[in-house]
Amino acid sequence: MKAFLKIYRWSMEMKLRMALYTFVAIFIKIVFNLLQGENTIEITELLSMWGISLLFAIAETVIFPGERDCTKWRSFLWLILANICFAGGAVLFKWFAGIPVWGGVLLLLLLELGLGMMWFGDRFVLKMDSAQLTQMLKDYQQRNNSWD
Amino acid sequence: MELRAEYGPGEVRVNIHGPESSPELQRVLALLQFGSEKIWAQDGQGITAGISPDKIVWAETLEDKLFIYTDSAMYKADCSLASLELRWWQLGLFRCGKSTVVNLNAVKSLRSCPGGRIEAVIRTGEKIMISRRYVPALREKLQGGI
Repeated sequence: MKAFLKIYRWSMEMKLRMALYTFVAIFIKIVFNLLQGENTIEITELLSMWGISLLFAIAETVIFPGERDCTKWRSFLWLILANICFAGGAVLFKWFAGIPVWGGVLLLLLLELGLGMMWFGDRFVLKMDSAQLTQMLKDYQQRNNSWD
Repeated sequence: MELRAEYGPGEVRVNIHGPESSPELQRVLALLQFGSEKIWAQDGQGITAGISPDKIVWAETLEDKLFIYTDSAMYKADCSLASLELRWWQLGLFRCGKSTVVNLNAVKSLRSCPGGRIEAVIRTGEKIMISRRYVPALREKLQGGI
């Protein structure tokens, strides 16, 4: 049962991140294609975007296991891997074929900005919320157990 | 809370005075009404034992069967998860998923997760995910008292 719960919890977290990355990648591809005058996206491109997102989401759970603190080394590794996966995936699978240099730079900047925001949200905002929640829990337990 | 005991002959009578909405009063009532109650369940060897609410760490339903986990054992009970929660919610039992109830008094820490979910680390070291649907109720419960 413990193993099942562990796998279930891991998959819940992983698939949420995978879905988020896939959605963003597809959204950017949609904008890119519309700007190119195309109204369709190839299924192979969708699949490759999903595959890369899945790969990165799995790697992310290894780099940032829930119980471990966010160290500089882990953050750096995460950033490097994100760039390898998404920038590398874009080049390898030609997601944005024919994009001008300035467009490529813009996409790269968007990627870094998005990653920065995610890192800040995950590692600081959630951490602060966790500390507040745990404090609320302690207060609740103290209130309830003070006259048991 | 002020506590005053008057000893005298006759039946034991308990009078509680306070605002109806007071979480403290509701919990005292719950303790008096249900604190000494037990739920009867079978352990792995088929031995029936009474489990008091404070011993329950968490519970879950699997294939329509209710499993209750304490610090050291697992029990199978006949009642439903909803009835367990309804019976002892004032004592800290909290519905945290479609098939899971956790005793908030047995939770060591809470961790906010991406996607609005919360992970509860219980005193046995296990981790239970509180699904998005139940997170607002949890925050309210932690702030409100009962």
